Amino acid sequence: MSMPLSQLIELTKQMHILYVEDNEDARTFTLEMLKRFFNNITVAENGQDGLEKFKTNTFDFVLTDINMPKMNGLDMITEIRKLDACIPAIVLSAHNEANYHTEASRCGVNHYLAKPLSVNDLIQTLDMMLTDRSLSTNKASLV
Amino acid sequence: MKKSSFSQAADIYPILMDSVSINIAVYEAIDDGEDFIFLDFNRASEITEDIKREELLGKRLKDIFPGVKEMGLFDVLKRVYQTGGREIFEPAFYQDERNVGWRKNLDSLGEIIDTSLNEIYIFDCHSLEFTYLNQGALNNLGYSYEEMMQMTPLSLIPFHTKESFTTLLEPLCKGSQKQLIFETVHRRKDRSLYDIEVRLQYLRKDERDQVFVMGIDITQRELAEKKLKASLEQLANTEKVAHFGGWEWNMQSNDLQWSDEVFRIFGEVSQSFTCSYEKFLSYLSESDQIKVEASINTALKNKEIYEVDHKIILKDGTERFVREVGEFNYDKNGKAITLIDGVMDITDYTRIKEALHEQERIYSQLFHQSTDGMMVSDDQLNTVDYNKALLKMLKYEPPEAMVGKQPFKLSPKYQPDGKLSIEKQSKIFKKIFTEGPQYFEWQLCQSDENLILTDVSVTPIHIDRSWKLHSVMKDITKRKEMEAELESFNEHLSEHVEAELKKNEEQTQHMLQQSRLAQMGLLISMIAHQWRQPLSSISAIAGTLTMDSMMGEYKKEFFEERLEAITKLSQHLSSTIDDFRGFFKEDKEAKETSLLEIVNSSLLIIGPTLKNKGIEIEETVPDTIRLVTYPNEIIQVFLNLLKNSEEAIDEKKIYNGKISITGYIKDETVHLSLKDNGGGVPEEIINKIFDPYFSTKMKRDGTGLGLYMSKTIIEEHCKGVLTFENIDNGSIFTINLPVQLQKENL
Repeated sequence: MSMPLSQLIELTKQMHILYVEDNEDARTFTLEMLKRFFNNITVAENGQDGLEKFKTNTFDFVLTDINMPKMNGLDMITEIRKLDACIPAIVLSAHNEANYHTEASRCGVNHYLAKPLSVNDLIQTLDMMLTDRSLSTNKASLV
Repeated sequence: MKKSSFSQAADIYPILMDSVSINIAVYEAIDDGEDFIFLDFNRASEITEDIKREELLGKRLKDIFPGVKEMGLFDVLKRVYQTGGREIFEPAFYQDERNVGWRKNLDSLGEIIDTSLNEIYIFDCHSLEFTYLNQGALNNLGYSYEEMMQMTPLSLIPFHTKESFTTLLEPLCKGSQKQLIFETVHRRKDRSLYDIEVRLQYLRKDERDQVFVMGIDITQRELAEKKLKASLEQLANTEKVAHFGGWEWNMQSNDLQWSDEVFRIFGEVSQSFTCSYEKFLSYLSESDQIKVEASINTALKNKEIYEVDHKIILKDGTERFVREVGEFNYDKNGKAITLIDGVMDITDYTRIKEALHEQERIYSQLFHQSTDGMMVSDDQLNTVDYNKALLKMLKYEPPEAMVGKQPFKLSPKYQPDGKLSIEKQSKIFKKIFTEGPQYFEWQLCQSDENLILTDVSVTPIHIDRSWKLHSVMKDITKRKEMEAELESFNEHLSEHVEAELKKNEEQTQHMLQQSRLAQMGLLISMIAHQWRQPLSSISAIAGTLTMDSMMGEYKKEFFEERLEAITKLSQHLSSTIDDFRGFFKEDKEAKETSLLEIVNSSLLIIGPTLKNKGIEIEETVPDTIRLVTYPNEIIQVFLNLLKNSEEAIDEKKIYNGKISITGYIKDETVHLSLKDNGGGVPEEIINKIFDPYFSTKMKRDGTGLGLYMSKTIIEEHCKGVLTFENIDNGSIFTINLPVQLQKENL
């Protein structure tokens, strides 16, 4: 971890994220944990719902499940990529097989998190993401 | 070659002219009877007058005999010419220098008549007394001159009376007929009879009306004629019977005379036309014409007899075969003048010969082209003939090496039964002549010492007054080997069957195992899926509590609440295990259950997965349907079908996926159907979906055993029926199960 947890949370608290999960039980407990990091969370029940909400709001990143009715997580990210090529996208899936990873990166997924989600994995991913973002921000200011 | 009566008369005339001993001259009147020309002058006249016929013919009488008028003959001839009546000129002497010759001739003529072997006599017309008899007459009749002078001709002619004889002579005596010629019978002194031809002529001599008779004994001629006639008749009969005819070809006149039988052979009415050589050839085919002509020409050239067989084609199209044998007759210059030919109808003979030849050909082919070995032996068992198949069978080189050999010499020393070949051979040989044809197995030895077993049949045949043995040998070495193999196979048949069954069972077991593994994989993935959400929740709770702890925000009440939640989630995990554990229990016996229970148990396992994929489940199963069956097996099948539908919907990315489960009972049969909107199965593979190792799941790790095992379980274990059909936008599987799985069905 490149930055202290308190510093990380300070940064994440300012973020607005889109969380997409169809299972109510999983959503309830996961949302409770996510609230420890983020103050502003928009919840969607499936890909279709998520895509609609993405169009009407501005988010710092998207966190989504893959297997969902109506529209799955990967299809949703493919659609989002057509609207915003840069927004970080994280998938949270029970399927940890290689073909899922390949398919996810083809759809433009930045990070792949396995279910059940451990808090350490989440912190590490957020840290990596914020470091990337600060680098790209610095680069932009230099230009 | 019929001669007209005219030509016959013309032929006879010169003979008559020259054979009579009286002088005959024929004159033709000229200058109105003032002179005469010689037309003919016979041999007797030539002698009497000492003048050649050639010197007279066409000459004038007065030129040749200038003194004829003085002699008196000329006036007689003239009167005869003018009146047309008969006149007799008394014998007179012509007065000239030729007279000497005439007299001399007259003397010698008397001598000739006296000494002629023919009977010559003269008798009185009225008294019938003999006035002259020559020596020939006396010799033939056996009488003395004195005896004869006391007799009349009636004594010589047994079949005449005085009246009949006088009547016979009447035309002569009256002068209405100059000569009488007839055949009659004379009787000798010893009473024997003989045939005689007599010529009677009127003679005015010594002022008496007399008859001059010359008789020729024709007994021999008659006999010869009779014989000839008889033999001709016999020949005709023989020809008819033997279908043998003859023809004679006069090569100068091209006159071809056929006998009656030749006409018959050529299918024509006897003597119905005059034949010619060309006509004869018209009955022959072109090739036969060439053949016959060539034979005849060769015979003509070499002056030899020819013999040729050929075909003739009759008017009605019938074909006949004839044999011609012929020979030429040559004149003294060696020129062929006639061809005499014998024709024999050999149609039947040719047909028989052809049939025999054909039969011979067939039998020869049968013998030589048979695939079985054949051998002909003489009555001493020595080989006389053999066919190709036998040579091939025994690999004999050169084939002649077999001739004269007895069978045992073509065999090993001992036969398979341990007996000496030579002894066995003589025993069989005896049996053939006492009991007839024999059938037996015999081992033969090939030229390369290899042994072959044959099936032999030997038949004795009586040909040409001697016995021959005909043997047929069939190589049964391979058949025997196969029989032995079959026997040994039969002995081990049960072992074979057992091994095959075991193999089959192993294969089934293997498939079952594979299927079970696949089933297990499926269940594990289901368990995994069922466990993931509670595990995620637990993990999330843990994460939340961790964060609170790390951030120093510990709240006891919240902690205790969340620990309670973890306990509940753990219990849920545990109950899931119980569900699956129940399913994994093997059904040892059929038990009573309800259809709804089966459906719910299945949905409990797979339901969350389907729900997670947004597949709607519509379930219409009354809780009243009860049946006796193997519930876990039905669940296994039902889970399989549900999984199949889920995959179809998933693969085709159908978002409003729906599975309808319907159950009902009718006629002691429980129906459970599962309908989805997953798009169905392509028509071309619809017949293969229940085949083992058939899978469309290219991306996933499908074993291809799911539907095969499902069908096996339902139809063989549960005695039901599993069917499939495509519907509008998906497919429908139907399981039909007996309400009560009967003991005897188990």
